Amino acid sequence: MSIYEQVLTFIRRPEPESFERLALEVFRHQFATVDVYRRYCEGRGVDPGAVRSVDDVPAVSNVAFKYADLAIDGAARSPDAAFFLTSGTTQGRERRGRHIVARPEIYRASAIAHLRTMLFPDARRMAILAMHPTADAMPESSLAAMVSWCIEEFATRTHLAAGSRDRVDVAAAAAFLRDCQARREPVCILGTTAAFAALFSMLRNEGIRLRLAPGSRMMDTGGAKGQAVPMQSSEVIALAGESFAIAPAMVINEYGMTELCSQLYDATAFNCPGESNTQELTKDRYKIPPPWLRVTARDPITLKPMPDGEIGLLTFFDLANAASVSAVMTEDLGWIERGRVRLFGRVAGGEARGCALGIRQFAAGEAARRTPDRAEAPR
Amino acid sequence: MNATTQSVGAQTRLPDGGLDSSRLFESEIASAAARVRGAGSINLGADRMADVLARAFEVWRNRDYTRRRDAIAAIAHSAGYSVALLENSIDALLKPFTSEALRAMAARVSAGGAMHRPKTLGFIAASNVAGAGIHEIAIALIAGAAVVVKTASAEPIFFAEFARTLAEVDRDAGARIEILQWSRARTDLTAALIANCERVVAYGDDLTIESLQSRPNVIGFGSRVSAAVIAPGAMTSVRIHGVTELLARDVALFEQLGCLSLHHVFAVSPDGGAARELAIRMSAALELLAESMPPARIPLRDAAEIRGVRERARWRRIAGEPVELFEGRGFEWTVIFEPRPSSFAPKSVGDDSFKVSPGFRTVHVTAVRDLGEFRDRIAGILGRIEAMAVAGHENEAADLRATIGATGIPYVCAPGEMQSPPLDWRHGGGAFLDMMVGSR
Repeated sequence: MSIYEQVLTFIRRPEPESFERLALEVFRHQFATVDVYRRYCEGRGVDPGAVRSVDDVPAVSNVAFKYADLAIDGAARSPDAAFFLTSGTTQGRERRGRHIVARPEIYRASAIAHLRTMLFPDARRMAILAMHPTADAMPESSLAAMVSWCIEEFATRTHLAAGSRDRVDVAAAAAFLRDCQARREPVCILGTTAAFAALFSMLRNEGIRLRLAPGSRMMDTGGAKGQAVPMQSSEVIALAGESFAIAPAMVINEYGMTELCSQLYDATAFNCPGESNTQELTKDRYKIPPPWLRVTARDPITLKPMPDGEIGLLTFFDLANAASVSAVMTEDLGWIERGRVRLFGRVAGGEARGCALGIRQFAAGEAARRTPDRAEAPR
Repeated sequence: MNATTQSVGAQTRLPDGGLDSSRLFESEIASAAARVRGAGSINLGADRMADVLARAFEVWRNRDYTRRRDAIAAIAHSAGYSVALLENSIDALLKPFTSEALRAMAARVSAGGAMHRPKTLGFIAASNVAGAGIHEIAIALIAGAAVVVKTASAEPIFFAEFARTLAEVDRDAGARIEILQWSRARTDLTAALIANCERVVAYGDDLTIESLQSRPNVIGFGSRVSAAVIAPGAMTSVRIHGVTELLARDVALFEQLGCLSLHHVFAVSPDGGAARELAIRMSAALELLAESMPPARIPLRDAAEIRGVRERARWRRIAGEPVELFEGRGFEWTVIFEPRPSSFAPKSVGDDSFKVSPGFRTVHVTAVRDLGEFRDRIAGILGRIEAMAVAGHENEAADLRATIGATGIPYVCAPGEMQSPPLDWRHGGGAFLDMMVGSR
């Protein structure tokens, strides 16, 4: 069985006890077939045969995807490969990262399987409103690919993509939701947090309060990106209740990025029945990775994993990235508790400093505390 | 009980040495301002105050002075600095406060005649650099003003201890300054300071300054950084070693966290070779400084930011760009060298501009073809540059000084002097200096 088939099998029938073995096989495969990654590992003096733990696999910074094609040899020329670009950051115009996904079927399997667990645990098809373009309209967007797959897998015939490359059609979105409300049909709304902000704003300005059918849910992603004044997670949850009558447990934030083929989702009482209700209205939600995604918080200096509960740079080993590079270190800070993830914010980049650094640090710390689970996720 | 003792007595010292401002009331800020104002009504004269300050600075320049030694130990402990780093940093900070400089300032104040100066000044100190603001406080005292200083929660020690020395040297002079500390969350107390002082000088980032500058009597020193430009004459085999040692020192002092900290070195080097050599030599000098002035404990966010800077450079290099990353074994220091942008292939947006580093001895070295290219590089950030170190042959240095002088950068100096600006340094553009002693 090829390494890709092994990964697909794991995604379909996870066996946690075999994760470590498979992860090391995936790493050795990538060392052998991803030229630039091999050079990176060699530069760090890493002998793949001597790596005994997934924690010792060299992780590439997610910025590496801006500068190098981290994909198996020949992927860029493969007709099956998908090319996804990051959308940049709030820090201004800069080079976009590129993730060449040579095996999109693994990406799809990963995305769908965890969506099923976290957003559709009740295994029902329903109307879907995507406030984001689908893959045909925006093929370079990994989020668009996910939206398309989600519609294919979980939507009834009632679905709409109300976003284009340049804008969200909030009027069309509102009309779609009104129809669903009239038919008392549950609806799942997908979109970036910025798109939801635009929709909430329009509904509020027009005095519209929808009462969507029970079972309706929403998934937002992207955090502060694209928003002049970022909405806090508690605001999103509150506005979902006010504007749609969607219960807090059905408002689920996704954490994902172009560089990873797997995603994490908020744990709520809906998808994790044991989850405490006291977390429903707070920013203290955990994010749950799928079994094929190992998350560690790393000391930025030593790159060693931090003990549970201690903040570090979030670093992933994603089996679904089997055809590119699985070990990816992000610029997001967070901590791990029993395999679950809490986000703390994103590392600031090159801020002006001066006589007042202490005050600036304070302000940054305050901002991070206000938005612990809304880190930007380049997609 | 003198004023300084009263001010500290108004707070509660906690077992861990921190200060509890929860028991401080607005009325106590008003009382402190009234006390220093009352003390200020007795005319000591600029010369006497300059002499008192000179004696206080003289004892503080002595590393064996108990109060200084204890203060440095306490600050180093709480901020995570090494004592050696802080000793050298404070030495550099206090170096310009000579008797001659203070007397010259007194003469300038006296020559200013009857100009309108504020009689009561408040200072909101920052926590990143112990003693930041000492220039303005000294000038204010020489100019006859009474001073209330709000120290940062993270660094409440330096000014409190210096004020005690001042009071010991001259009780009347010491009565003109009170040091208080409260959390920035106590906006009621900050508002009381602003209400009870004619002018308030705030050292803060742009957000802080913006929030305070809605008050007409607040002067803000916002976020600024410093740079250096090195001409070929300073990169000869004879001179390069000395120049890079001094530049490395400018990077390291105060762990690169103040407005007078060196972030980016531009080397005039048409083929980039000398600039690369400068970067290599700076790396070696920073490595040596890591031994003699051990680096600070780096806070998590800053360490993460440095990690990001390093990884960007590393991957640009892997991608074939000519950037080079030189790094200490741990995070002791980082030097990123970039040749001229015209040789970049492909060129990245933003890679050819001024770089503000995350601090903690992280510095960019970039080759520029000539002064014109250097001017282009800094054009977008001129209002943010506080100091520029220049070095070269005599003629080159003169050209550089003229070029930089025309840009309005407040302090132009030689390498190694960045953290020691003169007393009449036009900090932040000179608004404070002009207010207190008149424009030149």
